[in-house]
Amino acid sequence: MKKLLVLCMLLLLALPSFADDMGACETGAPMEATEVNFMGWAFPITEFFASELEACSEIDNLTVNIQLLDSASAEEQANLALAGGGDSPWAILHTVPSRMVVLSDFDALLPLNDLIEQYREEYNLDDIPQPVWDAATIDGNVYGVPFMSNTMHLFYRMDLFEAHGLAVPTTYDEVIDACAVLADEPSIDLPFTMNLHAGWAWEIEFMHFSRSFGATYLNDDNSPAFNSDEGIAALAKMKEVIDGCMGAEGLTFSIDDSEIGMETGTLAFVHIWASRAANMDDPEKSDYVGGIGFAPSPAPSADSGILGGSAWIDAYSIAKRSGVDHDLAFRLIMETFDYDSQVGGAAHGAVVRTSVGEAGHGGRNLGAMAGSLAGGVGGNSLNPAAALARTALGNWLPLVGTGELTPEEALESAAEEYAAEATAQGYIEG
Amino acid sequence: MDRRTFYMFMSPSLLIMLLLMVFPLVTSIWLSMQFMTFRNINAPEFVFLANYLEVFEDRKFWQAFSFTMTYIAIAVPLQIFTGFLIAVLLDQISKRFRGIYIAAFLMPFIVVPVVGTLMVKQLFESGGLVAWVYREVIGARFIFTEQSVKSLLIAHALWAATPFPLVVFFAGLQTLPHELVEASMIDGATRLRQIRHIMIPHLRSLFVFVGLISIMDSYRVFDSVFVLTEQNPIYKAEVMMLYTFRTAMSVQRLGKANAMSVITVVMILIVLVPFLLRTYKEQTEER
Repeated sequence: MKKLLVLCMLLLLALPSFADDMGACETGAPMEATEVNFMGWAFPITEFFASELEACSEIDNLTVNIQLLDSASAEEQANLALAGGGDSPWAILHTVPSRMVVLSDFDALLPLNDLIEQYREEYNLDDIPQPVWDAATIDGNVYGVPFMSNTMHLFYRMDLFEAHGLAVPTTYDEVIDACAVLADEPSIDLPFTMNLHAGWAWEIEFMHFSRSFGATYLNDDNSPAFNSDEGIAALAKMKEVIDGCMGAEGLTFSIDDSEIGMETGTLAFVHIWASRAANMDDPEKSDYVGGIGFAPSPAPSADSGILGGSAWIDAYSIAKRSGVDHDLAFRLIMETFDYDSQVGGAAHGAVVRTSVGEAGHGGRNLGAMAGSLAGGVGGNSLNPAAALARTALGNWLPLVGTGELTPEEALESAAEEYAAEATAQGYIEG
Repeated sequence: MDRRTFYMFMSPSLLIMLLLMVFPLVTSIWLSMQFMTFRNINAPEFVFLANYLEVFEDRKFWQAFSFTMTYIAIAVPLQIFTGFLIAVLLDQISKRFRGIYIAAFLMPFIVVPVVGTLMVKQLFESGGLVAWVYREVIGARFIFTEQSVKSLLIAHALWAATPFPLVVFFAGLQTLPHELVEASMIDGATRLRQIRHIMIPHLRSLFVFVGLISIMDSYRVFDSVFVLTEQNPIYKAEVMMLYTFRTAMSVQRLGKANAMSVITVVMILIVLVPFLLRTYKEQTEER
């Protein structure tokens, strides 16, 4: 019995080495034993690139520790650790532009301009389009190496749309019409969901709708502008979609729930992150391999025609003070940027190397992504005050979904809360 | 024991208490008097009691306080009652099987709180077992609403925290003099009367102890609310710890969040000090 127990323990200990599917790491060995900590958040493509980084632990004198959290926790951890200006526990951080603003404000991120120039040819960094670099640039300083772009777009069951004679919606009015047709379809639980399970998720969809309707979040003096007539019309349209398609149940669907709903056939179509598309064709996860179609986001405002999808990039940044050689950290990041790694990553999401896309690598949803990015509402505001506006909107918008507040009331309450906090924090002159 | 020896014995625990309890509390009080965000963390502005005044005028703080009190008022008596009931039942069964039952009841203590809450949540999600049973039996889909989420929070509190009163009461019952129970049986006392007139009085100090710890524990509830509500305001289930956390992390008002923490400590003390004084008095009287 004891022997069996010992054998089982040994097998368990050996399991990770069998399970890892790591590529070869070409970063040179450091002179001294070095531990490089990485922190980011998990979804298919980031998990793939994290495994590429972890493979570098095979090199002499180098240990790479990977910490993948959920997005909100990663933000909290970074804020707590880096706000004081001390040493960073992580040498490499997963960031997005709005977080780069905050972290560079803490003087916690290393401007990468010199390293990019130094390694431009060796790693063919001109293969990454300039607008993508621009998205990671603040006041001329490049604070991250973008590794993927993301947006939201429509995923739909092709068989159901064909059976009901439906065209893929191009506006949210058409989404509501399609929901009316699909309402009696017995094989599904709900016709459509967009991600509204939490305040922050509401805020992202509201950004899509409000910008499509011509609203902005803040005026030049940082006073709230999201409660304008355009903002109210945008929120009223969101409420129409909820009432026509989702109901109370749809309001509780998280990103995972919507993804699983498509994979198991309990939803007919969803508006969801492009980074979830790869799982639709994974036979271990999806019952509808090849059966899910992709289309650009619908336009919230039929008049403007601006689509309800935004442009996001994810990047790897280097902490200014972590005790790890910046050059080594940069070369480690480059492990995820060699052509093979980017081809591998393209199976999970939209990588940034032009040559990878041109060679035909990438998911079936690339066209839908391109449509949402080109015709959508653009990137998130980099104004630090906008973060407070997003928090306030997240606190009030969900109450419109349940019918407790009208769009006017919710936006007024959010504006009041934002203005008080922004004034207290000095973003609005008191 | 002379005074010097007494202090020598006391000093390690006193030092640890100073480091782990007094120092953080004093720091928190100092921080609560600063206007501090992540942006000015190295140069906070002294605002004396302004953060406290802001907290007292904050409607959401009082909403969180009100829900926390409701949560305590429902969860704590339920946990104590259920724990006591199971302890009495366990006391009745054969010693051979007790170990199995106790191990089973202690399972929630072994599971990491966040993982436990996620497990409970997944049972009720669209692909979950309970959601499926609900659909089969009721004929409608289980939906997370204000009522269902609040009920789930209470049910989770019952599942996760009942092992504590259970173990304490069960241990207490093992100290119950056997002759006392036998005498009552001879006198014709029913099981219910034995519980009322022998067991409960015997466990009285333990009831106070369990009550105090459970109130403090429930006051600090965070994990289950964080996971089950995902901070969605439609559930109206924000507790004080979650609101404090959101004030610090989302709104980045670190000074105000510290003021909330200090107020929380004071409120806990207001609830607990009378109990502690009473217990102390009883103990000294017994000596």
